Amino acid sequence: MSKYTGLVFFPAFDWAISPTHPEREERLLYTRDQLLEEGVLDFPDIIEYKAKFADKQDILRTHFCLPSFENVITDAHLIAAGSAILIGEAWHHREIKNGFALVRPPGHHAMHVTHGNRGFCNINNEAIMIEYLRKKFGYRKIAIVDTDVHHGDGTQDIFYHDPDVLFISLHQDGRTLFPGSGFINELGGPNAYGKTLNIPLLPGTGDQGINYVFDNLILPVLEEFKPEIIINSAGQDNHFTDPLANMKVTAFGYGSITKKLNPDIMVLEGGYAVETALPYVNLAITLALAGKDFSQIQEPQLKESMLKETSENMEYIKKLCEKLYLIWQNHTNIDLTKIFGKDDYYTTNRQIFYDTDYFIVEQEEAVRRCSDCGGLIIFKSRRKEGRKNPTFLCISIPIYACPRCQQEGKDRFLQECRNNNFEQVFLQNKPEDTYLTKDDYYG
Amino acid sequence: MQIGIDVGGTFTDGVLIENAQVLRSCKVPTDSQALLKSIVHVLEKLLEEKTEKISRIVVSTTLMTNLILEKKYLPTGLILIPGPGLNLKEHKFPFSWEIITGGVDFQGRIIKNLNEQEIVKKVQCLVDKGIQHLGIIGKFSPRNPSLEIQTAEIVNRHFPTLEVKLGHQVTGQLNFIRRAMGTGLYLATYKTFAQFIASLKNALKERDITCPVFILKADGGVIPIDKIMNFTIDTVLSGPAASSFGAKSLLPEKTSAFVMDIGGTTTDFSLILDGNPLLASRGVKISDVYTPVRSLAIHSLPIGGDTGIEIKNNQVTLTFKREGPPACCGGNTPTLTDCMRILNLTDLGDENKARLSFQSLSSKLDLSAEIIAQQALDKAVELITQEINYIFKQWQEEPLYRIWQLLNEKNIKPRNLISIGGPGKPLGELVSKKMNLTHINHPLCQVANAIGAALASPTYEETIRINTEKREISSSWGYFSKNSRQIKGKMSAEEAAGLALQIFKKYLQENGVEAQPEIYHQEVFNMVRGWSTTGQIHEIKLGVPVQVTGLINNKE
Ligand SMILES: [Zn+2]
Ligand SMILES: [Zn+2]
Repeated sequence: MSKYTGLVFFPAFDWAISPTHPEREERLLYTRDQLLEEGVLDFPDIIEYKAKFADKQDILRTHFCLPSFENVITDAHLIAAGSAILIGEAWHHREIKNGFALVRPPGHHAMHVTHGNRGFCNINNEAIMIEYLRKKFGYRKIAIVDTDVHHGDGTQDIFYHDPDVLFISLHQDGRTLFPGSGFINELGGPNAYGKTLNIPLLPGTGDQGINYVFDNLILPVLEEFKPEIIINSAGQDNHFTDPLANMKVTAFGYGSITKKLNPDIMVLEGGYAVETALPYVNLAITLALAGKDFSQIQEPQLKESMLKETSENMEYIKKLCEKLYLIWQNHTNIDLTKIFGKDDYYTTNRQIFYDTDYFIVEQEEAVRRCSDCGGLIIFKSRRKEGRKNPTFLCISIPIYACPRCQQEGKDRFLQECRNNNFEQVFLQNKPEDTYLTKDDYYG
Repeated sequence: MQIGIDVGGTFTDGVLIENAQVLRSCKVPTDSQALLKSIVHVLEKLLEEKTEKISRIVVSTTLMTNLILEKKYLPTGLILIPGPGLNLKEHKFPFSWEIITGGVDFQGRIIKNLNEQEIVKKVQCLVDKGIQHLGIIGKFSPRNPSLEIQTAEIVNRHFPTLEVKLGHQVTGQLNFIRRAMGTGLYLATYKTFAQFIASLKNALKERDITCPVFILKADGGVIPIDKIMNFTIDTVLSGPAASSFGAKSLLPEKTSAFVMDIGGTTTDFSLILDGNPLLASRGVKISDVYTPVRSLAIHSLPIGGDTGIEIKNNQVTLTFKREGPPACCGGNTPTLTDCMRILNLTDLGDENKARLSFQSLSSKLDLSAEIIAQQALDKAVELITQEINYIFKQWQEEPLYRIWQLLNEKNIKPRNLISIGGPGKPLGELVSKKMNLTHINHPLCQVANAIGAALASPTYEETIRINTEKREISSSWGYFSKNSRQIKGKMSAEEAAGLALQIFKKYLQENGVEAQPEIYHQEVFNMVRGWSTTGQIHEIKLGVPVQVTGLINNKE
C-alpha cells in the first residue's frame, strides 16, 4: 500500500465562463495561496502531479457531445477531465493511496448527452475517469458519493441504468435549489434499481447533520455494496458562506466527512465562496486525505452557534436516513414492473435546462430492460427553441453489455444510418471502445 | 580582468579572465576550518600581476552550506503566529519555538489580535532556554507584516538585548514553514557569516584590492559584498550554481545539456535548457532543512571520486561516502578514482598503490582488480544515469496552473552531457555512452565552477502583488506598502506593470544593482463579490534575467 496522497492542482488561472461569473480565474487563487503558505506541498507524503489533457476518445467513451465534440469541449475541459484520469491512474498503479483532483471547470451536472454548459459543467470529470479506469483496467463496482450542495444530476444520469455503479448524492433539497432534482424516489432505472440514492437535506443543515447522514446511511450502505473504488465528488458549496446555496457546513465538517468516507479519489466540483470557504475547505480535505490533523482549521467567520442543528432538522434527517436505508435494504425485492411497466424498452421524456448557455433540450430516453447488463440506451435529443433545430439519435452500448444488447445496438445503428431520419446518428460502443457516426457508416 | 573563486567542500578553485579568455586558473585544497585561508591562497596564485587591473571579484563560498549541514547554530528561538490552519506539530524545526495568539489571512486581513502578556510569557520561556536570537514569523506576514512588527515592539520593550528578525524581512514568498526556517537559519548563522565577510574584506584591503567584490547566490546571481548581510542564507549551495553557469559559458549559445559536476564526495546535476540553467520551482532543501532560498534545480548523489568500494553480500558496491583520498593518491581504501586508475581511464596518482588497495577485495571475491573496478564503475554509471533521467522527468512533470502553459510546453531533450570536476572526464564519457549523449569535456571544465562565479551577474526573479481593493502592495522579497496612493480601484495591465517596475527598480538600487528589469509574466484576477467587481489582484512576475557576460573561447 502506497503511503502517498496525490494532488493534481489545476486552478486554470487563465479561464473563466465570463469575467464576473462564479466560475472565473479568481476561484482557486486563495486556495493556492493557502496551500502554499501552509507548506502542504512540502510534505514528503504528498505528491503534486502536473495537469494533463484528456484524449477525445476518453470524452466520447462517456458522453455524446452535440452537435459535435468541438462545439462542447474546450482545452480547459480536456485538462480538468485529463487530470481526474491522471489521479485515477496513479491510484490504480498504487503510486498513491488516495488522491484529489483539485481542478476546474467542474463536471457533475454534465449528462450522458451534453449539448453545452449547464450548472457550470460541460463534461463530467468523474464519469470520464470511471469509464477510463473500467475500460483500461477492468474495474466494475464503483461507488460515487457526491457531497456538492447541488444534486449531481449529470453523474446520476450517466450511471442511472448501471447496476455496478452506486451513486449517492447528498444536497440541498431540489425544491429550493438548482437543478431542482434529486428526490428520494429517484432510485435508478429498471436495470439498476436502488443503485442511485438521493439525500435531499433542508436548507441550514450543517456539520452535525451531514455527519449523521454519513454515520447512519452512507457508510453502512457502502459497507454492504463493497465497491472496488470510492469516488467523492467534492463540491464545497455546502459551506456556510457559499453565495449560491444555504447550508451550514464548515471546513472542519468537510474534513471530518472526508476522513470518514476515506475515498480513493476526490474530484472538486462546485464551491463559490472563493475567500471564505475554498482556502479552508481545500486545506481541510487535503490534510484529511493525507491523514494529517485538520482540527485547527477554522474560518474567521465561524461562530459556535452555527454548529448545532435544530431538533426539527435532526428529526427530519433521522427519518430520511431510516427511510432510505430501508429502501436500500429492500431494493432487490421490489416488483419492478409496478414502477417501470413490462415493455422491452422503458421510455421517458424530459426537458433539460441548460442554465449557463440558456436553452432547453427535449430528450427521449429509452433503455432496454435487461437482466444481464445495464441495458442498451437510446436517446433522441434536440434543442427546443425554434422549429428548425435538428434531432440527434444517440445509441449507447454499456461497458459490460450482454451480447444481446451489443447486437441490438449495432443493428439499430445500421438501420438508423440507412433510414436517415436524424440529423446525426451516434453509436457509443463501450465494449469495443468506439464512437461512430452516420458519416463513418457512409464514409 | 575579473576573478572568480569557488570555495568547494574539497577544493577551492580560481580563475582570472580577460576578454573571454581564461588567463590563469588554479586549484588548492579547501581548509574547511579556515575558508578564508583557501581564498587568500587562490588570490595570491592568480595575482602575480598588479591588482589595479582587476575589475571585479566574485566569490562563491560553501560557508552557509557547511553551517547548515553541521548545524553550527547560535542559540535561536522562534515565535510563530500561525493563526488557524495546519497543526504545526506536523512540522519539525531545529530551533526552540513557541506559538502565540494572532492571525492574518491570505488577503492580509488581521483575523485575530495579539496578546501582549502571552508574548512576554512565551518569549521568557525561550529566553530561559538560553536563546539570544529571536525570529518572529507570522502566517501570511508578507501580505501584512503588522503583527510581526507589533510583536517585535513588545519584545524590544521587555527583552531589549534579544536580536530580533522578522519573517517578512527574510522572504516575502508564501510558505510559512520555510519562512520560519529561513528566519531561524539567518539568525543562527549571521554572526559567523558576518565574521567571515569582515575578514574577507580585510584580507582584500591588505592586498590593496579595491575593485567591486560580489558574493554568489544559489540562483547564480551576485550580491555586492556590502549588501550580502541581507542575503546570507541565499548563498547556500552557490557552488553547484557556479558549476552550472560555468558549464553554460563553455557551451555554444542556446545549447541544452545535462551538467554533471563530480566532486570528491558528491556529484551535482543540473540542467541547461536552450542556454539557460533551470531554476528550481521550490526553495532549496538541504539535508532535512526546507528553506525559502531560490536556487537552480540541483540534484545530488552521494557518489564522487573519493567514494569507497566495498563488498556486500558478495557483490561489489559503493560506500556512498568519502573514504579519504584515493589510494593512488596516498589514501588507505579503494575508491572510484582507483577503479578508473586501474582501468587506465585516468593517469592520476600511482597505479600500483591503486592495485594494492584492491588486494583484499580481489581475494574475497576471487576476481581480478580489473573486473571489480569495472563492476564498481558500472554501478556508479547506472545510478548516475538513473538520476539524470529522473531530473529530466521532474522538469517535464513540473506542475503548471494555466492552459496556455500546458499548450506551449517546451519539448527540449538535451543531447549533450558536460562533465566538470576532477574525475569528470572518464565518468562523463561512460555515462554519455550509456545514455547516447554527446560528451563535452575540456581542460577548463576542471575550473568551470570558478568560471561560472567570475562571469555571474545580478539576476532576479520576483513577484509583486497589487490588491486594488485593499490598496496594498506586497512582494516576494518582503516589500509591503498599504494605502498606496498610486493604486487605483481599477488598473490596466500597463499601469500595474509600471508601478511594479518602479517599486522593483527602487529595490535594485537599494541593493546596489544597475540593471534593466523586465516583466516576465503578468496576470490579473477580478475580485467579484456578490455580482459586482470590487477590485483586482495583479500578479506581476518580473526580474533581471541572466546576463551573458561573454562565452569563454579559450582554444582547447
Ligand atoms: Zn454545486
Ligand atoms: Zn443486456
